[in-house]
Amino acid sequence: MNSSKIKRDKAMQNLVADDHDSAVGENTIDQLLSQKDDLLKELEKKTAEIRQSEQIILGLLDIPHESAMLVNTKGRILAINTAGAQMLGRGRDVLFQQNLFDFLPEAISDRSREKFSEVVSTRKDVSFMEDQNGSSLVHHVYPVKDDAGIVTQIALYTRDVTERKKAEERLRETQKKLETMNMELITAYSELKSTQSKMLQSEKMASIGQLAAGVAHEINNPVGFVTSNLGTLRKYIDKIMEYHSFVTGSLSEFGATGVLEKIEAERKRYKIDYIMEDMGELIEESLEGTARVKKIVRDLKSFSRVDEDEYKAADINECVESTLNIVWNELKYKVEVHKELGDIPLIRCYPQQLNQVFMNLLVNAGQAIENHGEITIRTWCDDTSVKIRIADTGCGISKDKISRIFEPFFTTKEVGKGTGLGLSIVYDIIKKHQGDIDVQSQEGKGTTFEVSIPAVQEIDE
Amino acid sequence: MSRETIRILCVDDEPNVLKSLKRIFLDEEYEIFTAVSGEEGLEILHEHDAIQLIISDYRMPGMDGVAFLKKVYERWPDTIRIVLSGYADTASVVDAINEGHIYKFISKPWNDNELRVNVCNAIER
Repeated sequence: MNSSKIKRDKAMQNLVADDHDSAVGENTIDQLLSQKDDLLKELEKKTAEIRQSEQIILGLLDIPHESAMLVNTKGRILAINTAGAQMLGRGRDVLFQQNLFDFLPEAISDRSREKFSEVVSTRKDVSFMEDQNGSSLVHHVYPVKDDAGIVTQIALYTRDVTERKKAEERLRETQKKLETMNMELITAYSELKSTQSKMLQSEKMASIGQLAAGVAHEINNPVGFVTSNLGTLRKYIDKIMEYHSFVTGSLSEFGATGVLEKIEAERKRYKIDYIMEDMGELIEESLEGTARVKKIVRDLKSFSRVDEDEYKAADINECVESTLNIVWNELKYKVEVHKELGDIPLIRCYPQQLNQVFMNLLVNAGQAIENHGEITIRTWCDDTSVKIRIADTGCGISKDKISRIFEPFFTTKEVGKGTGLGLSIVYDIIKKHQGDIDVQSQEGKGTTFEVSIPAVQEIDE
Repeated sequence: MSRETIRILCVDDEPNVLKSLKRIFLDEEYEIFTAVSGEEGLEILHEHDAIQLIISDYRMPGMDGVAFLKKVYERWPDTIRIVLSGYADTASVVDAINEGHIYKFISKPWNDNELRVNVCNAIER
Protein backbone atom coordinates (compact mmCIF):
# COMPACT_ATOMS: atom_id res chain seq x y z
CA MET A 1 0.00 0.00 0.00
CA ASN A 2 1.35 3.41 -0.84
CA SER A 3 1.57 6.33 1.47
CA SER A 4 -1.10 8.44 -0.24
CA LYS A 5 -3.70 5.73 0.42
CA ILE A 6 -2.83 5.61 4.15
CA LYS A 7 -3.27 9.36 4.29
CA ARG A 8 -6.62 9.10 2.56
CA ASP A 9 -7.89 6.40 4.97
CA LYS A 10 -6.84 8.51 7.86
CA ALA A 11 -8.75 11.44 6.42
CA MET A 12 -11.84 9.24 5.99
CA GLN A 13 -11.63 8.13 9.62
CA ASN A 14 -11.43 11.71 10.59
CA LEU A 15 -14.47 12.47 8.46
CA VAL A 16 -16.53 9.70 10.07
CA ALA A 17 -15.54 10.82 13.57
CA ASP A 18 -16.60 14.34 12.70
CA ASP A 19 -20.11 13.04 11.94
CA HIS A 20 -20.37 11.76 15.48
CA ASP A 21 -18.97 14.78 16.99
CA SER A 22 -20.21 17.83 15.20
CA ALA A 23 -18.66 19.88 17.90
CA VAL A 24 -15.46 19.54 16.12
CA GLY A 25 -17.35 21.85 13.82
CA GLU A 26 -16.68 23.62 10.59
CA ASN A 27 -13.04 23.93 11.31
CA THR A 28 -12.59 20.24 10.79
CA ILE A 29 -14.49 20.19 7.49
CA ASP A 30 -12.39 22.99 6.11
CA GLN A 31 -9.34 21.11 7.26
CA LEU A 32 -10.54 17.98 5.57
CA LEU A 33 -11.35 19.76 2.34
CA SER A 34 -7.99 21.31 2.18
CA GLN A 35 -6.41 17.91 2.97
CA LYS A 36 -8.41 16.42 0.09
CA ASP A 37 -7.11 19.09 -2.29
CA ASP A 38 -3.59 18.35 -1.16
CA LEU A 39 -4.14 14.68 -1.69
CA LEU A 40 -5.59 15.19 -5.16
CA LYS A 41 -2.68 17.41 -6.09
CA GLU A 42 -0.26 14.85 -4.82
CA LEU A 43 -2.10 12.12 -6.73
CA GLU A 44 -1.92 14.13 -9.91
CA LYS A 45 1.77 14.72 -9.34
CA LYS A 46 2.47 11.04 -8.69
CA THR A 47 0.44 9.98 -11.70
CA ALA A 48 2.45 12.35 -13.86
CA GLU A 49 5.63 10.97 -12.37
CA ILE A 50 4.53 7.43 -13.06
CA ARG A 51 3.52 8.29 -16.60
CA GLN A 52 6.86 9.97 -17.14
CA SER A 53 8.84 7.02 -15.82
CA GLU A 54 6.62 4.70 -17.82
CA GLN A 55 7.41 6.76 -20.88
CA ILE A 56 11.13 6.64 -20.10
CA ILE A 57 10.95 2.90 -19.71
CA LEU A 58 8.89 2.55 -22.88
CA GLY A 59 11.29 4.81 -24.68
CA LEU A 60 14.10 2.61 -23.54
CA LEU A 61 12.21 -0.51 -24.48
CA ASP A 62 10.72 0.66 -27.74
CA ILE A 63 13.75 0.28 -29.86
CA PRO A 64 12.96 -0.87 -33.37
CA HIS A 65 14.22 -4.27 -34.56
CA GLU A 66 14.60 -5.57 -31.03
CA SER A 67 11.69 -7.03 -29.19
CA ALA A 68 11.76 -6.78 -25.42
CA MET A 69 9.38 -8.21 -22.84
CA LEU A 70 9.20 -9.00 -19.21
CA VAL A 71 7.39 -12.16 -18.23
CA ASN A 72 6.97 -14.04 -15.00
CA THR A 73 8.46 -17.49 -14.65
CA LYS A 74 5.28 -19.04 -16.03
CA GLY A 75 5.41 -16.92 -19.14
CA ARG A 76 2.74 -14.34 -18.33
CA ILE A 77 3.54 -11.10 -20.10
CA LEU A 78 4.11 -8.23 -17.69
CA ALA A 79 5.49 -5.76 -20.17
CA ILE A 80 6.16 -5.79 -23.89
CA ASN A 81 7.42 -3.28 -26.42
CA THR A 82 6.04 -2.55 -29.86
CA ALA A 83 8.54 -4.71 -31.70
CA GLY A 84 7.69 -7.56 -29.34
CA ALA A 85 3.98 -7.21 -29.99
CA GLN A 86 4.66 -7.11 -33.73
CA MET A 87 6.68 -10.28 -33.43
CA LEU A 88 3.79 -12.03 -31.71
CA GLY A 89 1.34 -10.55 -34.21
CA ARG A 90 -1.01 -8.90 -31.65
CA GLY A 91 -1.61 -5.50 -30.12
CA ARG A 92 0.20 -4.63 -26.94
CA ASP A 93 -3.06 -4.24 -24.99
CA VAL A 94 -4.23 -7.70 -25.99
CA LEU A 95 -0.97 -9.31 -24.96
CA PHE A 96 -0.71 -7.76 -21.54
CA GLN A 97 -1.16 -10.39 -18.83
CA GLN A 98 -1.49 -13.14 -21.47
CA ASN A 99 0.78 -16.15 -21.53
CA LEU A 100 3.65 -15.73 -24.00
CA PHE A 101 3.74 -19.43 -24.84
CA ASP A 102 0.21 -19.28 -26.22
CA PHE A 103 1.42 -17.04 -29.02
CA LEU A 104 4.43 -19.03 -30.04
CA PRO A 105 4.56 -21.98 -32.47
CA GLU A 106 4.73 -25.25 -30.58
CA ALA A 107 8.36 -26.11 -31.30
CA ILE A 108 9.56 -22.69 -30.30
CA SER A 109 7.39 -22.47 -27.23
CA ASP A 110 8.77 -25.82 -26.01
CA ARG A 111 12.27 -24.63 -26.51
CA SER A 112 11.60 -21.30 -24.82
CA ARG A 113 10.04 -23.05 -21.85
CA GLU A 114 13.18 -25.16 -21.55
CA LYS A 115 15.40 -22.09 -21.64
CA PHE A 116 13.21 -20.25 -19.10
CA SER A 117 13.42 -23.07 -16.57
CA GLU A 118 17.16 -23.22 -17.21
CA VAL A 119 17.46 -19.52 -16.39
CA VAL A 120 15.28 -19.95 -13.28
CA SER A 121 17.38 -22.81 -11.96
CA THR A 122 20.84 -21.51 -12.91
CA ARG A 123 19.98 -17.84 -12.36
CA LYS A 124 22.21 -17.09 -15.31
CA ASP A 125 21.33 -15.61 -18.68
CA VAL A 126 21.29 -17.74 -21.81
CA SER A 127 21.14 -16.98 -25.51
CA PHE A 128 19.78 -19.12 -28.26
CA MET A 129 19.12 -18.86 -31.92
CA GLU A 130 16.19 -19.94 -33.94
CA ASP A 131 15.31 -20.01 -37.62
CA GLN A 132 11.71 -19.48 -38.40
CA ASN A 133 10.00 -18.92 -41.75
CA GLY A 134 13.22 -17.83 -43.36
CA SER A 135 14.17 -15.36 -40.68
CA SER A 136 16.79 -15.85 -38.05
CA LEU A 137 16.14 -14.72 -34.50
CA VAL A 138 18.56 -14.43 -31.61
CA HIS A 139 17.03 -14.62 -28.14
CA HIS A 140 18.71 -13.39 -24.97
CA VAL A 141 17.06 -14.53 -21.77
CA TYR A 142 17.97 -12.67 -18.55
CA PRO A 143 16.88 -13.59 -15.02
CA VAL A 144 15.28 -10.84 -12.92
CA LYS A 145 15.85 -11.63 -9.24
CA ASP A 146 14.09 -10.46 -6.10
CA ASP A 147 15.91 -9.33 -2.96
CA ALA A 148 16.44 -12.94 -1.89
CA GLY A 149 18.08 -13.70 -5.22
CA ILE A 150 15.22 -15.87 -6.43
CA VAL A 151 14.34 -15.52 -10.09
CA THR A 152 10.83 -14.16 -10.21
CA GLN A 153 10.71 -12.65 -13.63
CA ILE A 154 12.42 -13.10 -16.91
CA ALA A 155 13.49 -10.46 -19.41
CA LEU A 156 13.48 -11.65 -22.98
CA TYR A 157 15.15 -9.74 -25.77
CA THR A 158 14.84 -10.92 -29.32
CA ARG A 159 16.60 -9.55 -32.32
CA ASP A 160 15.95 -10.37 -35.96
CA VAL A 161 19.39 -11.12 -37.47
CA THR A 162 18.13 -12.33 -40.84
CA GLU A 163 19.66 -9.42 -42.71
CA ARG A 164 22.91 -9.71 -40.84
CA LYS A 165 23.03 -13.42 -41.51
CA LYS A 166 22.30 -12.86 -45.15
CA ALA A 167 25.04 -10.27 -45.29
CA GLU A 168 27.38 -12.67 -43.54
CA GLU A 169 26.38 -15.36 -45.99
CA ARG A 170 27.07 -13.01 -48.88
CA LEU A 171 30.39 -12.10 -47.33
CA ARG A 172 31.26 -15.75 -46.91
CA GLU A 173 30.31 -16.42 -50.50
CA THR A 174 32.38 -13.51 -51.70
CA GLN A 175 35.27 -14.72 -49.60
CA LYS A 176 34.85 -18.22 -50.95
CA LYS A 177 34.80 -16.87 -54.47
CA LEU A 178 37.91 -14.85 -53.74
CA GLU A 179 39.60 -17.90 -52.30
CA THR A 180 38.68 -19.96 -55.36
CA MET A 181 39.92 -17.21 -57.62
CA ASN A 182 43.07 -16.99 -55.59
CA MET A 183 43.59 -20.72 -55.86
CA GLU A 184 43.01 -20.49 -59.60
CA LEU A 185 45.58 -17.75 -59.80
CA ILE A 186 48.07 -19.80 -57.81
CA THR A 187 47.47 -22.80 -60.07
CA ALA A 188 47.70 -20.65 -63.17
CA TYR A 189 50.89 -19.11 -61.86
CA SER A 190 52.50 -22.44 -61.15
CA GLU A 191 51.37 -23.75 -64.52
CA LEU A 192 52.81 -20.69 -66.14
CA LYS A 193 56.03 -21.20 -64.26
CA SER A 194 56.26 -24.83 -65.30
CA THR A 195 55.33 -24.00 -68.91
CA GLN A 196 57.92 -21.28 -68.94
CA SER A 197 60.63 -23.55 -67.67
CA LYS A 198 59.60 -26.25 -70.09
CA MET A 199 59.72 -23.67 -72.85
CA LEU A 200 63.13 -22.60 -71.66
CA GLN A 201 64.18 -26.21 -71.62
CA SER A 202 62.84 -26.94 -75.10
CA GLU A 203 64.31 -23.67 -76.32
CA LYS A 204 67.58 -24.80 -74.81
CA MET A 205 67.25 -28.15 -76.55
CA ALA A 206 66.41 -26.38 -79.82
CA SER A 207 69.42 -24.11 -79.56
CA ILE A 208 71.59 -27.06 -78.56
CA GLY A 209 70.28 -28.69 -81.73
CA GLN A 210 71.19 -25.70 -83.86
CA LEU A 211 74.51 -25.45 -82.13
CA ALA A 212 75.15 -29.13 -82.71
CA ALA A 213 74.32 -28.81 -86.39
CA GLY A 214 76.68 -25.83 -86.68
CA VAL A 215 79.39 -27.49 -84.63
CA ALA A 216 78.97 -30.68 -86.65
CA HIS A 217 79.75 -28.70 -89.77
CA GLU A 218 82.81 -27.17 -88.18
CA ILE A 219 84.01 -30.55 -86.95
CA ASN A 220 83.33 -32.23 -90.28
CA ASN A 221 85.78 -29.94 -92.05
CA PRO A 222 88.86 -30.85 -90.00
CA VAL A 223 87.74 -34.46 -89.70
CA GLY A 224 87.38 -34.46 -93.47
CA PHE A 225 90.85 -33.29 -94.24
CA VAL A 226 92.52 -35.20 -91.40
CA THR A 227 90.94 -38.44 -92.63
CA SER A 228 91.81 -37.67 -96.19
CA ASN A 229 95.36 -36.70 -95.27
CA LEU A 230 95.84 -39.89 -93.28
CA GLY A 231 94.78 -41.85 -96.35
CA THR A 232 97.19 -39.90 -98.48
CA LEU A 233 99.92 -40.37 -95.88
CA ARG A 234 99.38 -44.12 -96.04
CA LYS A 235 99.93 -43.99 -99.75
CA TYR A 236 102.99 -41.80 -99.32
CA ILE A 237 104.41 -44.23 -96.80
CA ASP A 238 103.84 -47.16 -99.13
CA LYS A 239 105.75 -45.29 -101.78
CA ILE A 240 108.57 -44.35 -99.43
CA MET A 241 108.80 -47.93 -98.14
CA GLU A 242 109.02 -49.25 -101.67
CA TYR A 243 111.64 -46.69 -102.49
CA HIS A 244 113.49 -47.54 -99.27
CA SER A 245 113.60 -51.24 -99.96
CA PHE A 246 114.78 -50.48 -103.48
CA VAL A 247 117.57 -48.29 -102.11
CA THR A 248 118.63 -50.81 -99.43
CA GLY A 249 118.46 -53.60 -101.97
CA SER A 250 120.61 -51.65 -104.44
CA LEU A 251 123.04 -50.71 -101.71
CA SER A 252 123.54 -54.26 -100.48
CA GLU A 253 124.11 -55.33 -104.04
CA PHE A 254 126.46 -52.62 -105.10
CA GLY A 255 127.47 -50.67 -102.00
CA ALA A 256 130.93 -50.48 -100.45
CA THR A 257 131.36 -52.51 -97.26
CA GLY A 258 132.16 -49.54 -95.03
CA VAL A 259 129.15 -47.58 -96.20
CA LEU A 260 126.80 -50.50 -95.67
CA GLU A 261 127.90 -50.96 -92.07
CA LYS A 262 127.51 -47.26 -91.41
CA ILE A 263 124.01 -47.33 -92.87
CA GLU A 264 123.16 -50.35 -90.75
CA ALA A 265 124.34 -48.55 -87.59
CA GLU A 266 122.26 -45.46 -88.39
CA ARG A 267 119.29 -47.66 -89.16
CA LYS A 268 119.54 -49.13 -85.67
CA ARG A 269 120.14 -45.78 -84.03
CA TYR A 270 116.93 -44.35 -85.52
CA LYS A 271 114.99 -47.59 -84.92
CA ILE A 272 114.01 -47.52 -88.56
CA ASP A 273 112.75 -51.10 -88.58
CA TYR A 274 110.41 -50.44 -85.69
CA ILE A 275 109.20 -47.21 -87.24
CA MET A 276 108.53 -48.87 -90.57
CA GLU A 277 106.48 -51.50 -88.84
CA ASP A 278 104.64 -49.13 -86.55
CA MET A 279 103.77 -46.52 -89.16
CA GLY A 280 101.03 -48.62 -90.66
CA GLU A 281 99.43 -49.23 -87.26
CA LEU A 282 99.74 -45.59 -86.36
CA ILE A 283 97.77 -44.61 -89.39
CA GLU A 284 95.17 -47.32 -88.90
CA GLU A 285 94.63 -46.21 -85.29
CA SER A 286 94.34 -42.58 -86.30
CA LEU A 287 91.84 -43.45 -89.01
CA GLU A 288 89.84 -45.44 -86.48
CA GLY A 289 89.85 -42.36 -84.24
CA THR A 290 88.54 -40.10 -86.98
CA ALA A 291 85.92 -42.70 -87.87
CA ARG A 292 84.71 -42.53 -84.28
CA VAL A 293 84.57 -38.76 -84.34
CA LYS A 294 82.58 -39.02 -87.56
CA LYS A 295 80.08 -41.33 -85.91
CA ILE A 296 79.68 -39.16 -82.83
CA VAL A 297 79.06 -36.10 -84.97
CA ARG A 298 76.57 -37.99 -87.08
CA ASP A 299 74.66 -39.19 -84.02
CA LEU A 300 74.73 -35.75 -82.52
CA LYS A 301 73.31 -34.35 -85.71
CA SER A 302 70.65 -36.99 -86.07
CA PHE A 303 69.72 -36.57 -82.43
CA SER A 304 69.44 -32.85 -82.34
CA ARG A 305 68.52 -31.74 -85.81
CA VAL A 306 65.67 -29.39 -85.19
CA ASP A 307 64.12 -29.44 -88.62
CA GLU A 308 63.62 -33.16 -88.38
CA ASP A 309 61.27 -32.90 -85.45
CA GLU A 310 58.30 -33.83 -87.52
CA TYR A 311 55.55 -36.35 -87.06
CA LYS A 312 56.55 -39.37 -89.06
CA ALA A 313 56.89 -43.10 -89.05
CA ALA A 314 59.97 -44.16 -87.12
CA ASP A 315 61.63 -47.24 -85.78
CA ILE A 316 61.72 -47.09 -81.99
CA ASN A 317 64.64 -49.52 -81.90
CA GLU A 318 66.64 -47.10 -84.04
CA CYS A 319 65.71 -44.26 -81.70
CA VAL A 320 66.91 -46.31 -78.74
CA GLU A 321 70.18 -47.18 -80.50
CA SER A 322 70.98 -43.65 -81.55
CA THR A 323 70.14 -42.30 -78.09
CA LEU A 324 72.26 -44.94 -76.48
CA ASN A 325 75.18 -43.79 -78.62
CA ILE A 326 74.77 -40.28 -77.32
CA VAL A 327 74.66 -41.19 -73.65
CA TRP A 328 77.20 -43.95 -73.97
CA ASN A 329 79.95 -41.73 -72.57
CA GLU A 330 78.04 -41.27 -69.34
CA LEU A 331 77.37 -44.96 -68.98
CA LYS A 332 80.31 -46.91 -70.30
CA TYR A 333 82.55 -46.86 -67.23
CA LYS A 334 80.05 -48.17 -64.72
CA VAL A 335 77.15 -49.69 -66.56
CA GLU A 336 76.68 -52.89 -68.46
CA VAL A 337 73.91 -52.33 -70.98
CA HIS A 338 71.75 -55.23 -72.10
CA LYS A 339 69.62 -54.71 -75.15
CA GLU A 340 66.65 -56.91 -75.89
CA LEU A 341 65.21 -55.10 -78.85
CA GLY A 342 62.21 -56.95 -80.17
CA ASP A 343 60.60 -57.07 -83.55
CA ILE A 344 58.37 -54.01 -83.49
CA PRO A 345 56.52 -52.15 -86.21
CA LEU A 346 57.26 -48.58 -87.26
CA ILE A 347 55.04 -46.15 -85.45
CA ARG A 348 54.11 -42.62 -86.29
CA CYS A 349 55.69 -40.30 -83.72
CA TYR A 350 58.01 -37.39 -83.10
CA PRO A 351 61.27 -39.35 -83.14
CA GLN A 352 63.41 -36.48 -81.79
CA GLN A 353 61.12 -36.15 -78.83
CA LEU A 354 61.13 -39.86 -78.14
CA ASN A 355 64.92 -39.71 -78.35
CA GLN A 356 64.76 -37.17 -75.58
CA VAL A 357 62.52 -39.45 -73.55
CA PHE A 358 65.00 -42.30 -73.87
CA MET A 359 67.93 -40.02 -73.18
CA ASN A 360 66.41 -38.65 -69.98
CA LEU A 361 65.49 -42.14 -68.78
CA LEU A 362 68.92 -43.54 -69.62
CA VAL A 363 70.80 -40.64 -68.02
CA ASN A 364 68.69 -41.01 -64.89
CA ALA A 365 69.31 -44.75 -64.85
CA GLY A 366 73.04 -44.11 -65.17
CA GLN A 367 72.99 -41.56 -62.38
CA ALA A 368 71.10 -43.96 -60.12
CA ILE A 369 73.96 -46.42 -60.41
CA GLU A 370 76.76 -45.38 -58.14
CA ASN A 371 79.58 -47.80 -58.75
CA HIS A 372 78.66 -50.57 -61.08
CA GLY A 373 75.38 -51.86 -62.34
CA GLU A 374 73.25 -52.93 -65.24
CA ILE A 375 70.71 -51.27 -67.48
CA THR A 376 68.37 -53.46 -69.46
CA ILE A 377 66.52 -51.98 -72.42
CA ARG A 378 63.70 -54.09 -73.77
CA THR A 379 61.32 -53.31 -76.61
CA TRP A 380 58.32 -55.33 -77.67
CA CYS A 381 54.79 -54.80 -78.84
CA ASP A 382 51.28 -56.05 -78.38
CA ASP A 383 48.22 -55.58 -80.57
CA THR A 384 47.82 -51.91 -79.89
CA SER A 385 51.07 -50.42 -78.76
CA VAL A 386 54.84 -50.46 -78.70
CA LYS A 387 56.48 -50.87 -75.30
CA ILE A 388 59.88 -49.82 -74.08
CA ARG A 389 61.19 -50.88 -70.71
CA ILE A 390 64.32 -49.37 -69.21
CA ALA A 391 65.38 -51.06 -65.99
CA ASP A 392 68.40 -50.22 -63.85
CA THR A 393 70.00 -51.82 -60.83
CA GLY A 394 70.58 -48.45 -59.18
CA CYS A 395 69.66 -46.94 -55.84
CA GLY A 396 65.90 -46.92 -56.43
CA ILE A 397 63.32 -44.31 -55.43
CA SER A 398 61.74 -44.18 -51.99
CA LYS A 399 57.98 -44.64 -51.63
CA ASP A 400 57.29 -41.09 -50.54
CA LYS A 401 59.09 -39.68 -53.55
CA ILE A 402 57.87 -41.97 -56.29
CA SER A 403 54.51 -40.24 -56.59
CA ARG A 404 56.20 -36.92 -57.19
CA ILE A 405 58.90 -37.76 -59.71
CA PHE A 406 56.91 -36.51 -62.71
CA GLU A 407 56.22 -33.16 -61.06
CA PRO A 408 58.13 -30.31 -62.62
CA PHE A 409 61.02 -29.06 -60.44
CA PHE A 410 60.94 -32.13 -58.22
CA THR A 411 64.44 -33.50 -57.94
CA THR A 412 66.30 -35.82 -55.62
CA LYS A 413 69.62 -35.02 -57.17
CA GLU A 414 72.10 -32.71 -55.52
CA VAL A 415 72.06 -29.02 -56.36
CA GLY A 416 73.26 -28.34 -59.88
CA LYS A 417 72.90 -31.93 -61.02
CA GLY A 418 69.22 -32.03 -61.78
CA THR A 419 66.76 -29.38 -62.89
CA GLY A 420 63.77 -31.45 -61.82
CA LEU A 421 62.51 -31.20 -65.39
CA GLY A 422 63.80 -34.36 -67.00
CA LEU A 423 60.96 -36.68 -66.05
CA SER A 424 58.32 -34.01 -66.39
CA ILE A 425 59.42 -33.49 -69.99
CA VAL A 426 59.36 -37.26 -70.44
CA TYR A 427 55.83 -37.34 -69.11
CA ASP A 428 54.68 -34.53 -71.39
CA ILE A 429 56.14 -36.12 -74.47
CA ILE A 430 54.58 -39.50 -73.66
CA LYS A 431 51.22 -37.84 -73.06
CA LYS A 432 51.55 -35.98 -76.35
CA HIS A 433 51.85 -39.39 -77.98
CA GLN A 434 48.79 -40.55 -76.03
CA GLY A 435 51.01 -43.06 -74.34
CA ASP A 436 51.62 -44.08 -70.77
CA ILE A 437 54.58 -44.25 -68.49
CA ASP A 438 54.74 -46.47 -65.48
CA VAL A 439 57.41 -46.66 -62.82
CA GLN A 440 58.27 -49.34 -60.33
CA SER A 441 61.06 -49.04 -57.88
CA GLN A 442 62.56 -50.73 -54.91
CA GLU A 443 65.01 -48.85 -52.77
CA GLY A 444 68.47 -50.31 -53.08
CA LYS A 445 67.39 -52.68 -55.84
CA GLY A 446 66.63 -50.48 -58.82
CA THR A 447 64.00 -48.77 -60.89
CA THR A 448 62.04 -49.79 -63.96
CA PHE A 449 60.30 -47.39 -66.30
CA GLU A 450 57.88 -48.78 -68.81
CA VAL A 451 56.76 -46.60 -71.68
CA SER A 452 53.85 -47.58 -73.85
CA ILE A 453 53.06 -45.73 -77.05
CA PRO A 454 49.95 -46.55 -79.06
CA ALA A 455 50.72 -47.67 -82.59
CA VAL A 456 47.95 -45.45 -83.86
CA GLN A 457 47.46 -42.01 -82.37
CA GLU A 458 45.42 -38.98 -83.14
CA ILE A 459 47.77 -36.09 -82.73
CA ASP A 460 46.65 -32.47 -82.95
CA GLU A 461 49.25 -30.94 -85.16
CA MET B 1 98.70 -38.10 -123.52
CA SER B 2 95.91 -38.65 -125.91
CA ARG B 3 93.39 -36.31 -124.43
CA GLU B 4 93.52 -32.96 -122.86
CA THR B 5 94.41 -32.69 -119.16
CA ILE B 6 91.31 -32.50 -117.04
CA ARG B 7 91.05 -29.27 -115.11
CA ILE B 8 89.33 -29.30 -111.74
CA LEU B 9 88.53 -26.33 -109.52
CA CYS B 10 88.12 -26.86 -105.78
CA VAL B 11 86.51 -24.13 -103.69
CA ASP B 12 86.52 -24.21 -99.89
CA ASP B 13 87.20 -21.57 -97.26
CA GLU B 14 89.39 -24.05 -95.39
CA PRO B 15 92.87 -24.26 -97.08
CA ASN B 16 93.60 -27.61 -95.41
CA VAL B 17 90.59 -29.12 -97.16
CA LEU B 18 91.87 -27.76 -100.47
CA LYS B 19 95.28 -29.29 -99.85
CA SER B 20 93.72 -32.63 -98.95
CA LEU B 21 91.65 -32.59 -102.11
CA LYS B 22 94.74 -31.85 -104.15
CA ARG B 23 96.50 -34.81 -102.56
CA ILE B 24 93.63 -37.18 -103.39
CA PHE B 25 94.17 -36.56 -107.07
CA LEU B 26 97.96 -36.77 -106.88
CA ASP B 27 98.06 -39.97 -108.93
CA GLU B 28 95.51 -38.72 -111.42
CA GLU B 29 96.47 -36.66 -114.45
CA TYR B 30 94.32 -33.77 -113.34
CA GLU B 31 95.23 -30.15 -113.10
CA ILE B 32 93.84 -28.90 -109.80
CA PHE B 33 92.97 -25.27 -109.16
CA THR B 34 91.97 -24.07 -105.70
CA ALA B 35 90.07 -21.07 -104.40
CA VAL B 36 89.18 -20.08 -100.83
CA SER B 37 85.96 -18.29 -101.83
CA GLY B 38 83.28 -18.27 -104.50
CA GLU B 39 84.54 -14.88 -105.71
CA GLU B 40 88.06 -16.22 -106.17
CA GLY B 41 86.60 -19.30 -107.84
CA LEU B 42 84.82 -17.12 -110.43
CA GLU B 43 88.05 -15.22 -111.12
CA ILE B 44 89.88 -18.47 -111.77
CA LEU B 45 87.10 -19.63 -114.09
CA HIS B 46 87.42 -16.40 -116.02
CA GLU B 47 91.20 -16.70 -116.28
CA HIS B 48 91.41 -20.34 -117.25
CA ASP B 49 89.46 -21.90 -120.04
CA ALA B 50 88.10 -25.39 -120.07
CA ILE B 51 87.73 -26.12 -116.40
CA GLN B 52 85.52 -29.16 -116.55
CA LEU B 53 84.63 -29.93 -112.97
CA ILE B 54 84.04 -27.87 -109.88
CA ILE B 55 83.95 -29.13 -106.31
CA SER B 56 82.60 -26.52 -103.95
CA ASP B 57 81.89 -26.24 -100.26
CA TYR B 58 78.37 -25.17 -99.32
CA ARG B 59 78.90 -22.95 -96.32
CA MET B 60 81.40 -20.21 -96.92
CA PRO B 61 81.69 -16.64 -95.77
CA GLY B 62 80.56 -14.21 -98.45
CA MET B 63 79.12 -16.05 -101.41
CA ASP B 64 77.87 -19.47 -100.39
CA GLY B 65 78.26 -22.62 -102.45
CA VAL B 66 74.83 -22.50 -104.03
CA ALA B 67 75.13 -18.86 -105.08
CA PHE B 68 78.56 -19.59 -106.51
CA LEU B 69 77.45 -22.68 -108.43
CA LYS B 70 74.37 -20.86 -109.70
CA LYS B 71 76.64 -18.22 -111.25
CA VAL B 72 78.87 -20.93 -112.65
CA TYR B 73 75.86 -22.66 -114.17
CA GLU B 74 74.69 -19.43 -115.83
CA ARG B 75 78.11 -18.63 -117.33
CA TRP B 76 79.58 -22.12 -117.85
CA PRO B 77 76.64 -24.49 -118.04
CA ASP B 78 78.72 -27.38 -119.35
CA THR B 79 80.82 -27.67 -116.21
CA ILE B 80 80.17 -30.53 -113.84
CA ARG B 81 79.33 -29.22 -110.41
CA ILE B 82 79.74 -31.12 -107.16
CA VAL B 83 78.94 -29.85 -103.68
CA LEU B 84 81.09 -31.10 -100.84
CA SER B 85 79.61 -30.02 -97.55
CA GLY B 86 79.44 -30.82 -93.87
CA TYR B 87 76.19 -28.98 -93.63
CA ALA B 88 73.74 -31.37 -95.19
CA ASP B 89 70.24 -30.43 -94.21
CA THR B 90 67.43 -31.06 -96.63
CA ALA B 91 66.98 -27.42 -97.56
CA SER B 92 70.59 -26.94 -98.62
CA VAL B 93 70.54 -30.06 -100.79
CA VAL B 94 67.31 -28.96 -102.48
CA ASP B 95 68.77 -25.50 -103.10
CA ALA B 96 71.94 -26.89 -104.54
CA ILE B 97 70.12 -29.22 -106.90
CA ASN B 98 67.62 -26.65 -108.13
CA GLU B 99 69.71 -23.53 -108.27
CA GLY B 100 73.17 -24.86 -108.92
CA HIS B 101 72.07 -27.79 -111.11
CA ILE B 102 74.62 -29.94 -109.38
CA TYR B 103 75.75 -33.37 -110.39
CA LYS B 104 76.34 -34.69 -106.89
CA PHE B 105 76.07 -33.72 -103.27
CA ILE B 106 78.85 -35.28 -101.22
CA SER B 107 78.87 -34.81 -97.48
CA LYS B 108 81.86 -34.15 -95.30
CA PRO B 109 83.77 -35.95 -93.95
CA TRP B 110 84.17 -37.54 -97.33
CA ASN B 111 85.54 -40.87 -98.33
CA ASP B 112 88.56 -40.43 -100.62
CA ASN B 113 87.75 -43.38 -102.85
CA GLU B 114 84.14 -42.41 -103.22
CA LEU B 115 85.12 -38.90 -104.17
CA ARG B 116 87.68 -40.17 -106.67
CA VAL B 117 85.20 -42.54 -108.26
CA ASN B 118 82.53 -39.85 -108.46
CA VAL B 119 84.87 -37.41 -110.14
CA CYS B 120 86.10 -40.06 -112.51
CA ASN B 121 82.59 -41.12 -113.49
CA ALA B 122 81.48 -37.54 -113.94
CA ILE B 123 84.30 -36.77 -116.30
CA GLU B 124 83.77 -39.85 -118.40
CA ARG B 125 80.09 -39.25 -118.69
